[in-house]
Amino acid sequence: MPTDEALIAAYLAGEEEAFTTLVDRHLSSVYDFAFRLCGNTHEAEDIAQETFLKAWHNLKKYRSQSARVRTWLFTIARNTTVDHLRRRRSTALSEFERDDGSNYLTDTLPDTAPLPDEAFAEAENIEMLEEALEKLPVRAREVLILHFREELTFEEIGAILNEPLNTVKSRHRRALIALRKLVERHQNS
Amino acid sequence: MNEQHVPGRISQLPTHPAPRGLRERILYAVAGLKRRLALRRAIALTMIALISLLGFAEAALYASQELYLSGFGDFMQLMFTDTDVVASSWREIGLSLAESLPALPLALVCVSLLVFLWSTARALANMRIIRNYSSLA
Repeated sequence: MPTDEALIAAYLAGEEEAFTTLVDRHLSSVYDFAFRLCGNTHEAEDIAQETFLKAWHNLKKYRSQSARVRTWLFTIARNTTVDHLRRRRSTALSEFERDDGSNYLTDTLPDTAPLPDEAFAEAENIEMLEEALEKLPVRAREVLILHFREELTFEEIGAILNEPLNTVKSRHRRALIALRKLVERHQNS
Repeated sequence: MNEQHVPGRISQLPTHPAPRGLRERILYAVAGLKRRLALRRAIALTMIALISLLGFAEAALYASQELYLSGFGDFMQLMFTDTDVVASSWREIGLSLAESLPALPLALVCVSLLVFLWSTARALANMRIIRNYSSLA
């Protein structure tokens, strides 16, 4: 099976089917990522379409030395999603986060002792976890999705978000804490 | 908190499948964009081809006038009328030819011709793309 880089090279050499294969390979992930960030089917479709159009338009500019194709695609998808969300204006991108990046949820709720493993072990209810994930601010959600679902490294996530490694790790840590508290709150209610 | 549970849970969340038809819509949109870009390029390249053709005509006229005025034609004619003289003084004749050669006009002729040929070839290539994708967009 040809690599993503080989597909791009093949397409630029004139093999039309290579781009179709690239779309087939990554469409599900890109759509799922867009949907989880914007929460809307129609918007996720638009974002996915726009992502691949932008990718096609910039194929000649892609450099394998700077990032994997997957990372590059998710960078486009993420930026496109942010643009859509800004245009929408109904989503509070900092719903739980203050301007300085601190999170009122993690700051105000006590965390005196580590939660027992059972708290997450009990979160076998996928639906509950979905709801908790949806309640997270977009900036927290995207880090968790990119790391745990798309299996990207923190370095790659940093490239996508255009942030330093330590910032990504810090955001990841806060996102996990916030997610845990949302799950716990859901279980207690 | 045992973070080991989190990856398992988040990674197990079901993937929202892309809606039916999205793949085709994307490929259709790419084909449409390809056609529109090819159309813009074809128009621009056709204009360049026309301008370079006019430029070629002007440059050819200019070059022929300069060739006549510079005496280059006289030296060239010598090569066919007095071959003995040319054979015996080929170095001097060669230098005279080189000195009298109207380099700039000839360069303009070559450049305008190359631009015309290149832009025409590229315009035709883009028109083929437009034709190939005209049924889709």
